[in-house]
Amino acid sequence: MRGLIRAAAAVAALGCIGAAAPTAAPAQSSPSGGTPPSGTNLLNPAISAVGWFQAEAGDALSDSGSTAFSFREVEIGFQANVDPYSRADFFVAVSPEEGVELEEGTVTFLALPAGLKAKVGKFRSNFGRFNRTHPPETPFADRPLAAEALFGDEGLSAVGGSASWLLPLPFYANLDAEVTNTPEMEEGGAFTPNRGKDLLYLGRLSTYFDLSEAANVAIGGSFADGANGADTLPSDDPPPTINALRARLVGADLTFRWKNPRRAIYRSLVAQMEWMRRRADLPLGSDVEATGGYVWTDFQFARRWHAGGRYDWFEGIQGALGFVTFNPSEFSSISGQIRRDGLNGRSHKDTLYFLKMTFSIGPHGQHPF
Amino acid sequence: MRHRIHPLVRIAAATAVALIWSGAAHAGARLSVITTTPDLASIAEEIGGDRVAVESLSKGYQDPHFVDAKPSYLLKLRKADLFVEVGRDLEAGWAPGLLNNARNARVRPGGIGFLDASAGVAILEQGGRVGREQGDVHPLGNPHHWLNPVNGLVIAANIRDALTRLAPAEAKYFHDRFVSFESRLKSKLDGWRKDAASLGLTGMKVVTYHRSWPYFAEAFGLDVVDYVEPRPGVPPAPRHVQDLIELMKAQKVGLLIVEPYFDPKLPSRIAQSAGVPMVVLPPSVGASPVARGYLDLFDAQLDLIRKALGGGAP
Repeated sequence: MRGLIRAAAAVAALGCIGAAAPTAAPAQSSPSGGTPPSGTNLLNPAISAVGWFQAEAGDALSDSGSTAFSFREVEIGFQANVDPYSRADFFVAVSPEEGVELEEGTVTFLALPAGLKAKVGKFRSNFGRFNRTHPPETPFADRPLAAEALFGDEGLSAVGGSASWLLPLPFYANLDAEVTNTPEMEEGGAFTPNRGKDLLYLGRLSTYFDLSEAANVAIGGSFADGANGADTLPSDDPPPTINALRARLVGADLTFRWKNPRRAIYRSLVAQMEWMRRRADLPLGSDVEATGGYVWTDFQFARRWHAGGRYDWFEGIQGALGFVTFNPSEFSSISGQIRRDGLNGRSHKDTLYFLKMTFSIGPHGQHPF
Repeated sequence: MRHRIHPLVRIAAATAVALIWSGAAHAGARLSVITTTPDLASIAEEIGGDRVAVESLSKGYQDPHFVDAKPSYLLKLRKADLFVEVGRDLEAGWAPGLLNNARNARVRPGGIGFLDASAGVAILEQGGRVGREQGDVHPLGNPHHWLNPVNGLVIAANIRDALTRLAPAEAKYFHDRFVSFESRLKSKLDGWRKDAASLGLTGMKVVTYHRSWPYFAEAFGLDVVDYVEPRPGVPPAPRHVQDLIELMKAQKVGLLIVEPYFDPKLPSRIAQSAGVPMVVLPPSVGASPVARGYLDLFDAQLDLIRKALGGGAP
């Protein structure tokens, strides 16, 4: 854990566990200091905010389009139970460059029978592990090559619905199914919307095993099938029906965790690997394939210190990143990072230096796991 | 004329039979009680007896603030009839996410199977200004309330009432067991208070690592004058350590109490420098081999304090 604690982090990092509940919303007094006219403020949602400031340096900076200093975003969260059957979680990302964007906004139905849970709204797609982590909460100042190439700077997220089934087995196994719009993505992304009715279908099966009291492993497999732009027809006569091409994505991930429960705040280790392959239709019946992945580890070597590294690759490009992170408290972190791309190219222009600072305010949320 | 039964009707009938059978089986089964800590589990076993199957998610040697929300816990919560938490945000970092994902509406807050054990407990350190500049404080008051045995009775009554709501036919059974527990606890409480007085704990100035012990101090008359952590969750800086050593000498602090999940190296150095005995005290059932149940916990704590203060067997 990077020390950055809040409910949004749980939504992201729990992965298979999903959204976290807010703690009790703080009681608020009236601005005048007098007695509030009623108890309505007590029913306000829990409000939290996570800020992400970053400094970057290096010869590659001029090519990356980034500036030396950036306030990447502040994520504002509103979370509360809607009624006895459902809860709502809204996360709004505000950044000087991107403006205001709804990062996630969901209503989750928690009282369904037969081990089911469902949500509707805009949410980060449950593909792999990394994609569900909100950008400020990742250990990295950047994104792995494959994640950035396929899902862009903000990751894969879309509007639609999701169902999650905790399988009735003696060990943990969860099946997720999502149907969403095909999201607009940067050029070269995994999917390209064509018509509004061309949907993105996603499935994920994840499982988890305790290896010992201190060690555990989580394994997942993901599949997504979505539009890949419009097919082209050789003739306009009769008027063409432009069908969507499709792109399919498969992924596998494995996460190993170790933490001595008798000394939980001092030492821990997380190692995660993720692999993904995209196969996309092209006009006239051909297709194209791209493969990538990453491996990273984060070792907490003292109560407030972490160190780690990442190796990632996508379509013949390789990169690596190293970081040392200091957490003054559970609610803030400062991380120095070095990234080198094009390991196979050996160019001095491929090195970037980052200083990532994050801080959260608001009620104590869920510790990521 | 013989009518053929549609396959869907057969399936529906078989499902209905299975559901009725499983419901009947469930009705006759023991209530499944999942608690966040072993102290609550021990009290639930005292009250529930053979009508309940109790399991704690955390172990007594774990810091209850920092328990990992493992997906395997969802399997336990999925089938739970009753979930009991210490409350006051002690488990804010791990329990809410588990409850939201257990697919068991009964044990979510507001459900018939959710119990905040702190209900009705006289909570300390409540009210006043609250902010993160004070560290990782609990806005709803200090949550370590089970460490005053008097509060153990309130917890037991809460569990009795919750079990009775779930199994009204067993109301007398649960009440009788509560009365027995109350009697044994009150009897032991007299002994613990005499032990504490004989150890000189009444009015003794002590320093603790974390703010885990105000209820224990309340029960046995200790005076907590400072903490190794300057603020909850914030490791001590060298200046604070030096100031603390001076304070311990000046105020003639009699004991330094440390929880078992903190690294004892620094408090050992502090205790040595101040010339004060240090004791690693089990804050929960199971944190020490002799603290097997809630009523053993206080025996174990007072025995360890006796040894730390240089006393022999009682």
